[in-house]
Amino acid sequence: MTPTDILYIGACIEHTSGGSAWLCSYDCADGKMSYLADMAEVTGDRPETGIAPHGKIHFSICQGSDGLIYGATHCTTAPGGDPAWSPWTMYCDPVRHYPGAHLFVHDPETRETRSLGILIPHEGVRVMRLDLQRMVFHGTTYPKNHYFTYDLKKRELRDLGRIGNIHQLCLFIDDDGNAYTTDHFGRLIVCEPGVGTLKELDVQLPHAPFRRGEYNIMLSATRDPATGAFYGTTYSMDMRIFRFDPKIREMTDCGMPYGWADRPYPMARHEPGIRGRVEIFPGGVTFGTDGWLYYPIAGAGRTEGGPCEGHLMRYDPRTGKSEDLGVLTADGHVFTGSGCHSKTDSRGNIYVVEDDATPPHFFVYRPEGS
Amino acid sequence: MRREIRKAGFVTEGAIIVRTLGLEGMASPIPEGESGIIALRAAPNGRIYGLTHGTRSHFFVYDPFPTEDFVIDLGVVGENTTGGDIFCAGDGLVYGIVFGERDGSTVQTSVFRYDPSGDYVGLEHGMWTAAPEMLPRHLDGSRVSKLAFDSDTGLAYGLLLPGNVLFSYRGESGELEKLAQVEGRVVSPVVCVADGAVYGVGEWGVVFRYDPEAGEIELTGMVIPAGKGKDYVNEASALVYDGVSRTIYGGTSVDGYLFFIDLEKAAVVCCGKPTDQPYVRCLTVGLDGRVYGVVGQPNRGMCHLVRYDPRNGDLRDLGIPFGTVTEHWVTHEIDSICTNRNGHIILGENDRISHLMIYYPAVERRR
Repeated sequence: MTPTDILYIGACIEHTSGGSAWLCSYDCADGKMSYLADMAEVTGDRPETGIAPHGKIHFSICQGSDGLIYGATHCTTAPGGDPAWSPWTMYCDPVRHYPGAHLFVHDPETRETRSLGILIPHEGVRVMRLDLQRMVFHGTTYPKNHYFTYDLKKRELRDLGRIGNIHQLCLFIDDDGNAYTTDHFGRLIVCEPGVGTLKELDVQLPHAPFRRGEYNIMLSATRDPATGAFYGTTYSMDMRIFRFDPKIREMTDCGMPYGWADRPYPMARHEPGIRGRVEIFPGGVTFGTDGWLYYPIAGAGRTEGGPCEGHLMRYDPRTGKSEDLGVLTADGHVFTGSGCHSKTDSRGNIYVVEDDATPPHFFVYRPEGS
Repeated sequence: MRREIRKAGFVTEGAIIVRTLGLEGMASPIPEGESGIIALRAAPNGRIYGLTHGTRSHFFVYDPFPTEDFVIDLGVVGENTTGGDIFCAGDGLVYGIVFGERDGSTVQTSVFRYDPSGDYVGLEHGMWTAAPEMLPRHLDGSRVSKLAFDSDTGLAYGLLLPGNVLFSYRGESGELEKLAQVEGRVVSPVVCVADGAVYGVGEWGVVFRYDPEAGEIELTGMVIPAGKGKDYVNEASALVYDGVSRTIYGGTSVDGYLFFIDLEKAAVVCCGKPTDQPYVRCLTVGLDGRVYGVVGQPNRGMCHLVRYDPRNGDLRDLGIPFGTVTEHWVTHEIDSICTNRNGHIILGENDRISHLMIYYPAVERRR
């Protein structure tokens, strides 16, 4: 979300072989959706060649201090005609390989989008954030899970090496330019500006006492404008809200959004005993202008084998109170609950994007006073 | 189908156990950036010794004996290192050479030895091990190739780089002798001891043989396989000797071919190319005579475990090593391998975060 209330969206096509992602924008003021750029055109990597296409723009859209919109492409969409694709199996395949994520830039004034080149060959970009002061990107790759930095001014890439197994979804940068992400045990890793190396911290995301934190990673995190601390949600294993204070590098467990009485520590995905696909992880977080932390969640109210109904939740960091705002529905459509991103516009309206629905929707929630 | 396709590239024949480089769940493993494994050797008593590189080099031991089934970091043997090797000598000691480079020039080369005779490892009653002993340095200014140990003579052989000087080293006395210059622009950084002679590969992929008694290098006329026209840049990237069949097995750098040298017939036979990548990273002979190896382009590829069966010529890509015990882990870079006394294949990962991957080959079904 830009300060001018333009929401930039990466529209992905993971489950349609040969498809390519689109950069889109939504003008929050007039509700106009624009389809800005086809990643196959931007990158020049045509799916017709048989390569694994740029089927996603993953968690990587950033606005620079120059006003331009930056992002990176990502893989996992199968080549045209293939039923599926494995990034490991096809890593070096001469035809079905993924060329590597392109860093791209979009100029909102000219509405032109161009590629700045491949970051790391064969690697997608899972998450990328921009240190606005230094104009340095920080990101993680997939499938090899490397941490990289890219200095936009010097056009210099640094691959800082592997940080975990395969799973990485979130990275945040504090006011001093320190970039944080987690390894595959949910332990925090920091890349300090100017140092050029990674440091593993003795800080771990909250998890159930009987788990050791494996595969419990960050899904999303956002800065509390009031305090400078970061609030976020965990994913894949535990489902918890956390608070991280970068000044003292302290992690606080803010609790679990909800659960069942007989399951105090449900798994965020694949909870045993529940029929069908269950994804009850808390989704993308955003602070409203009212100081509450908003996020979607799936599974609340779900019965076995029933439809998935997504709720909108909010958490007050000032009091520690959580509130379930109910099932998110609009125009007859019920939110599936799987949503990795939420944003707030300048007027306090909350935007929640739906993953894994065809077609996907995004919802606008207008809190009282917004 | 989608799930099956996504899983199909991993090793599914046999099983893999992941071992961190430390006492699982009890001690921090060898830190990130210092854990890349560059050498593994199986000692006659079943212990596996290993060497890492990085901001610091660690020398470690892994003993699969049930009460000691974890990795012990025996100590730091070098700093800012980029390569090295170890060997288990006939006196029961383990010797190692590790070197570090900075800005393209060698900084220093360290030599160490380890005496395990006083070790006791057992969690219940405590644990004590010796520390590696640093030896006087002969080799400053040089890197060394992978080493080959002749158990009959007690000599380790290797190449001093740059310059491609074949040398021998006797651990007990610390005596290093420069033997011969291997001529050529491209000389493979590996050697192999077979039937008392030292074999290597020189320019244009030509196999050379050094006879310690004659004290001379002889060009054999045998050439390792390469794609047509690529001999001028081709190297043997791995060599291993099977004393039972009197066969040297090797792998190439440019194409990732597997080959063997039949010493009786003095012939090189190309087994084929098991994956779509160049660079055979390492090889070991299993207890059953099958040859296991790792193929993968360094840093830009994805390592695969491969197997060659000399009984029928079957060459197979077994897949990418992936284990879920003791943690979920996929390996991308592997540069060392050995066979333990039970026939398990030990893979040494060489990445910023590294593990031992223990491969248990499948038991063959009777026919």
